[in-house]
Amino acid sequence: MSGDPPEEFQGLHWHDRETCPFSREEGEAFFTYTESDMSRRAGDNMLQWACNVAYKPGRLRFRNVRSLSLAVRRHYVPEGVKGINFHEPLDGHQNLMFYHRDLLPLIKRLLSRPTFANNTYTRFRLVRDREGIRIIGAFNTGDWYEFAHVVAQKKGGGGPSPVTVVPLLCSTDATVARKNMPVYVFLVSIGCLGDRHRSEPGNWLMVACLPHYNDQAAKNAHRPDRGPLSIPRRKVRSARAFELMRSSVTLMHVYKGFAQSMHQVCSRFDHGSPGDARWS
Amino acid sequence: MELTHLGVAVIMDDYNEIGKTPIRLRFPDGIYRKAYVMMAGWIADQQEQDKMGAETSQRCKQCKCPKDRLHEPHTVWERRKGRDVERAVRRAAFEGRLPGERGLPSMPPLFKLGTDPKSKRPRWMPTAACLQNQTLYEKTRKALGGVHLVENALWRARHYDYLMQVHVEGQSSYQSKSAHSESPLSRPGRTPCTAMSTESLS
Repeated sequence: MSGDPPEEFQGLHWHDRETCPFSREEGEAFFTYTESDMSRRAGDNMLQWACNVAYKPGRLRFRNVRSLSLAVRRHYVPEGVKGINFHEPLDGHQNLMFYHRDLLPLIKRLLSRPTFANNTYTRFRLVRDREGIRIIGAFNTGDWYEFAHVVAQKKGGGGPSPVTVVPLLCSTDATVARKNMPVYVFLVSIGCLGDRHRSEPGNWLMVACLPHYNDQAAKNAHRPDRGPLSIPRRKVRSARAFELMRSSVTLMHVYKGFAQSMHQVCSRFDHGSPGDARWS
Repeated sequence: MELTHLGVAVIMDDYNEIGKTPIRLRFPDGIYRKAYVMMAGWIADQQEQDKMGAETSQRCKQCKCPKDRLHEPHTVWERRKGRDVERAVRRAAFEGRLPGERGLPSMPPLFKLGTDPKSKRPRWMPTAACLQNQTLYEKTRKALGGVHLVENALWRARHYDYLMQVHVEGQSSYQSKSAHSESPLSRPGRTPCTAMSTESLS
């Protein structure tokens, strides 16, 4: 029957069969590696844990939720994504990470899609109708493209092969991801795709995720803010940093004055003892 | 708003780095071509345009139409230039000069250039004058037509005017004076030419 074990294993207890090539943990890790949508690096990490001799499943890897979430962020941020933390103490309890990735790999990735093979605009075309009137229709027939094309030829050195223009289109908007997560995305597409492809959402790639600013959290952190028409919040916050800098300068002055007075005291003491010439 | 521009500035620096020279790209048809990456447009709805321009919503992002005549659909006004806005904002923020003034600066400078302590990126730090007199900022902002005194990230975009949304050659002469702008980007003494005026090429 189809559900039976293979012939060499029939009649044997399952303990007596050939040993499994992996331990249970290793098997889980490999399964994760191949079958799930976990990232490659996370799978590697899990495999490393499982292959470690000191690994004991009873031992908890993470003692609390915060370290777990930190590790998850460390492991699950996709490859090539860099983060800048714009958070300052006066912002209170909020996350102001700015995640971004490089632009050039995105452009290369868009240009590597074979769907666009016959639909890319690589040079300017001047289109006229029968009466000789210029028609502006597709992206590469317009004024912008003409001008950019001419500039590219001029700046590209004027070699035998023409220099192509890759027009970059940027866009920002606030949307909602997974029904409850507000994200403020920064999208990029290239204009040399055909007009049909440019409007497809799959051809707009996300370069960055701009951080939200939570006013309430900053207010709870006692950020100074006076009046409805005050200077922008970030200004006040950085202004606070500036004030702190000033106060530290003042402290330094105090310390300097203290040192000077100590010096005076010491020198007076030294003058009082004529035999010691070291301090004069 | 400043946070947004701090973030977008990172991307714009990246873009400027790419667009400096023509790069060799493989196109979808398998042919390698030398290509210039140039910014062609910024597609956003009105709130986002306000934010990217650091402006009020009561102002046209393209032309110099006053607020009480915004309802006239066929009146043509002069186009606004991002370079002029940049110059006015920088002069007001760092020199204390309001637009239209020719004499000595009428107020103390409101900002000075600093470095963000964490991200190590250039940032405008308010001076004591800006902090002590809260209405001074608003008065300055009103004199500038509602533009916030924030370093706009799109000012630094190469080949691109963020208000006219057209191709611009060269960059403002004002930017070359500031310490934090990349010096190879800026070409002082060149006037921007739009897509309509191609005479400067010949």
